[in-house]
Amino acid sequence: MHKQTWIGALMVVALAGTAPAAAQSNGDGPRTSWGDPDLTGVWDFRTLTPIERPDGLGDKAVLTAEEAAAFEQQALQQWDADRRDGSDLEYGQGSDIERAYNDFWWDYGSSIDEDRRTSLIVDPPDGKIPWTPEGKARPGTFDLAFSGIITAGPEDRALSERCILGFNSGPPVESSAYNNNLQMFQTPDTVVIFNEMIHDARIVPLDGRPQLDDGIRQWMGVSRGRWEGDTLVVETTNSGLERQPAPDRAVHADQRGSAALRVHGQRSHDVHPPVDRADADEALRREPVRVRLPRGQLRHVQPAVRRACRGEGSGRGGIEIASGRPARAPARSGG
Amino acid sequence: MANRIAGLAMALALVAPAAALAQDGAPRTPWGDPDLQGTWTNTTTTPLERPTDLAGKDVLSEEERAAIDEENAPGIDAAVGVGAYNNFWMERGYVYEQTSLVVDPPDGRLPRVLPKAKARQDALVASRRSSSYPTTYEEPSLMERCITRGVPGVMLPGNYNHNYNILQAPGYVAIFHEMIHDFRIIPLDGRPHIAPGIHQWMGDSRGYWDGDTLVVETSNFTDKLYERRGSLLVWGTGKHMTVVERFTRRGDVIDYRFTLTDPTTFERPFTASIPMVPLDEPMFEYACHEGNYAMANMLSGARDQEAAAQRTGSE
Repeated sequence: MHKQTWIGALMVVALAGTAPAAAQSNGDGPRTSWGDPDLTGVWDFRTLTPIERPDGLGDKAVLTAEEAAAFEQQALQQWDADRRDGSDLEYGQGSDIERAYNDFWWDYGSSIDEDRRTSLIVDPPDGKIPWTPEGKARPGTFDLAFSGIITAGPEDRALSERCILGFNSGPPVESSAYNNNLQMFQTPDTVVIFNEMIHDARIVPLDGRPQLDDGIRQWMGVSRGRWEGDTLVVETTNSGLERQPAPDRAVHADQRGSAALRVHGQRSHDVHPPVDRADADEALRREPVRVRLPRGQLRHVQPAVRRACRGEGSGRGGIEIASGRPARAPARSGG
Repeated sequence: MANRIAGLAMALALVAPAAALAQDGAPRTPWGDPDLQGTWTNTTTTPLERPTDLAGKDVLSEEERAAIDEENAPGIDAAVGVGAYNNFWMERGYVYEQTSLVVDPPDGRLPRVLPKAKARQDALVASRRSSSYPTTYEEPSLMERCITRGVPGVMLPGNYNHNYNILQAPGYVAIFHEMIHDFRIIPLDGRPHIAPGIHQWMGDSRGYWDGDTLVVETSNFTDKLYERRGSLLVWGTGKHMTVVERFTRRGDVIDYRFTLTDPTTFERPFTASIPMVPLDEPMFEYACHEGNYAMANMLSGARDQEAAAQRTGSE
């Protein structure tokens, strides 16, 4: 700590005149006063784009503008919990009482991703989670929790219902029903990802320290981060999510896998090259999964506890998530 | 553990209950703020209030501290019966030089609790001692329910997990509290508090630098907050409570103090001093709910006791 502080002091001298909370950009986005890409702020990740590509779209990765508008209208109609008509929804029985929250509470957003993608998953190209038969059969599917299975006790319910782990807070981060907000906080050797959902904070050291022993399991796993160019890469292992019902989490890192979160600091909406594939967990997935979330920025001074004000801030960054064992070779530059 | 003993000894040597010490040479962040970063602990057996048999005595001698530590050593392992955790799980540390964490009022005791708050406190005590306790999951403390210890509760030492990770960025200080994985992001830019009608378990914190001292002012508490300690104290009524914390780094010790003000609970504000020393171990997840069968067992056990009492016709 003291050595780093001393080195930091030299950097401050060299960059005399730079404001402590510098938003000085070198053309690739704002930077912190110590030179890292500046990811600080409150971000929202709401979107109507589904995690997986809907059936029937095959390899169609992007919608036309007309198709996107139609999809958004259909999604908003489908999710409209204020309706009082009878419906053929799986869980809606015709009365808004049985539809849980009404639209005042939902915060899926009102549009799909700016790229008009058909899924948040960008790899595999079919936009689907590459389940193995064994992985698909594991408890924790949507149907198990919502189709009237009798539960014997609180441990049969989802972690999010028990307020243990947020259903969108990760790792990895996934858009969901509400509270799709997080605040990022940086120091020279740490990044903190504070999720509004169940007020969970992940403290991600950047100093290259090793992961914890494989025998130590934590609900949010253990995260370690590093910079690859302007991309923050967060690798998380040691997850304690094995055998837990997680019906609303389509993608999560289990005890045998890991999630590499790649946060792109650029304000532009670049398309990033795929990460190198690594050996997959044969028992659960055939291959790693890449998910790309759109990310807007809330008002700079707005705390994560309040509902986002969509459309504020300049530009959008991107968060890309690769789930699977860590890549053995570094990703190509810029990814 | 040996490092913690050394660190605690350093704390005791450096921190006088009411003195202001020199701050030359304190480490700084790259942007010039005093550097409070690191992982810290404030585990101690020093009680919140000065024991009555130490009235008028605000510091202990080395011999007295050694005697108290030796007396505390057997701890739970010496208890008879099943009891709760044994010493393997406890992390109480050692006694400070100061005879109480409360340093103001000078008698080391909490101020008089005002009548209405006292009635509330007495009701809490009565309910806890009732043979039918708990009748509902809402009766146990917020800590037992794995909700929060609140502020300043989260900064008070107790049985275990009183460890803190302080992080700083330009314009912010963040504190990660191991118990119950609560995280505070404290802006330093002078922004106002949230609206008075919004109440949060951890309140709403705002900070600023007073020389080399970080001052954190917290308000907007919920009135459901109370701390379960020996006397089931009621900290405050939420909207009337404010807490001002002061963090000053003196070498490898953080002189941490808080002042709690609630004119509807206490007849005057009070201040506690709890030095923090470096923690030479990583902080782990305090999941709390994991394997937390206690609530269900407490409720069913109380119902069994009620049924047994009815069968025998006695209470």
